[in-house]
Amino acid sequence: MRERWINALSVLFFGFLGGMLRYLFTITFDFNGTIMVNLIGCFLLAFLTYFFISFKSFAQWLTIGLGTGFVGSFTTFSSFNLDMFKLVLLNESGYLLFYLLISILGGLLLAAIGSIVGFHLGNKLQGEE
Amino acid sequence: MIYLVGIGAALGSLFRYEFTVAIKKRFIYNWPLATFIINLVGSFLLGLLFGVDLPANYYLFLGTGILGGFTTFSTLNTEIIGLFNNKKIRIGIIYMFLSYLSGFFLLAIGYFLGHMM
Repeated sequence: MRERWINALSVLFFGFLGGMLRYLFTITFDFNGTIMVNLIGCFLLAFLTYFFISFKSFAQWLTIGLGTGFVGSFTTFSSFNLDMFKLVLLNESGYLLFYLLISILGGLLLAAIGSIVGFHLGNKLQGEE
Repeated sequence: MIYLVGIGAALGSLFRYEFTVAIKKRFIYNWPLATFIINLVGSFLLGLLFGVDLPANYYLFLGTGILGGFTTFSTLNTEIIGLFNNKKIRIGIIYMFLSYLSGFFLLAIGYFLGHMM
């Protein structure tokens, strides 16, 4: 019961930070800001998830706060769709295609790289403990 | 302004976390049902908010904050990679296409509904 509350507080705190950082990216770089947060976030979440699978020395509240809270809040699926919808309304088909391809393919590729790097680094550090 | 986004995102993240924990207790499928529902509902609602043309501060709190924090692009991709790693290639590909296609479609429906209100 106590652990549940600590996890919830951790998600609130880290989600607060992740959301504000996302906002800074989007007011600075507009649509490209959403692309950046989503790509960086895909690498980070896969890295953290697989790092914590192989390296088990962190407290649960911290792994949930960083992954589910911070990175989950930093990236956004709804704004990704809204940006594309706005590009349809603006008739920007060239940029729409770029936005779509780099987000979907880039996100998948970076999550794959993040999972491999995270898992191996976690294993290496776990072995040294 | 930025704190409105942060507070909204904190709440959105907590809803996502609690919903995911609740769903995972009840369903044992390979399909990542919790994230799937979260992303589709969030996209529909964001389209709706954008369609009704809210005052800027309301939109920042509800849209950029709560719905931005509630939905997640990174979890979607990490789950797809997880399915691929577990040799569930077909489910991963269907999950990916269905998320992207229905997310966009639902956002558009939300927008037109909001626009009519």
